[in-house]
Amino acid sequence: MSAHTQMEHHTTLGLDHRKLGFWVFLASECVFFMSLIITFIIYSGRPQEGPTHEVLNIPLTAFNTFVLLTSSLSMVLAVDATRRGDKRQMQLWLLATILMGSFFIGVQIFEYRELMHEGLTLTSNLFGMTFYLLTGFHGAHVTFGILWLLVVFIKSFGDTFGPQNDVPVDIMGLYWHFVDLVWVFLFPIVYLIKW
Amino acid sequence: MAKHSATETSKHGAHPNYWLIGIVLAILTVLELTVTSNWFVTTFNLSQALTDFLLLAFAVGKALFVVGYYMHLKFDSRIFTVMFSIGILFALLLSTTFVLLF
Repeated sequence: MSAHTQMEHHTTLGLDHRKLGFWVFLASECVFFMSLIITFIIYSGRPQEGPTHEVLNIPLTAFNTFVLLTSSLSMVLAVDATRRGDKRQMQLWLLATILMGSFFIGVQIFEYRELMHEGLTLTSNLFGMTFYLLTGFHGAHVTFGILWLLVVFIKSFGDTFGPQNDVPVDIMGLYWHFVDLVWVFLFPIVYLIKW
Repeated sequence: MAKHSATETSKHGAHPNYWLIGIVLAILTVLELTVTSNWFVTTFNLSQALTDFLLLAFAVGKALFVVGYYMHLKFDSRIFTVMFSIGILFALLLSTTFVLLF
């Protein structure tokens, strides 16, 4: 990185303003996802025609949940390796996170295909509409996260990240954990509880 | 000028066992699946309301582990916790309003 970019990012609170700003963004994301979740809860439980909760593949989604939780572990290990200055470990865990995130999306696409064969589409009923809206927005967040991880992974081949510049990797980690956090609630709310 | 490190605002001594937390998260997910299984519901004669409550309790438990240890809120500046809590508070307020309206 050039010298002119190496500047302090402190706020008057003594905190890194990028990190503080990102926490504010995550707070706004809580409101966004909660509005989708509550819409799903309100509308999915209403009497409706067509396929609903019974067509969902819970064992497959449970396995996918384990994959996403494990990707959160690999992400935090990547952040930890960055702070220790262990570039090889950082790259290894970043790659593992990318692969697990991609696997999650792959399974979600497979699940969507199966559900559409069962007759559950975006326009089939209120359950279908709210289900695809909620899980689709989460999937879009995971996809964006994978792209971001790829950028971080490619940049890690230079001397960009290390103990003195771990904030970009840390913020990436916060985003990934937040996506995992949302799924922690989506899995029981969408798949396990019958509203 | 040196770049700013995220750990500068954290408690340096704090180094949680991430693997152990991963195992705890996996166990909580297994528990979620167990309480919804037919065997568990019939053996313990659980009501739907109690099962749903347990599922949400497990989810909150998992969320606290992720936010506290993986997102380092437990060790980071309290200001981050306050910022995030405000978002959660607004989200809960919004959901309560939706439930009351619809």
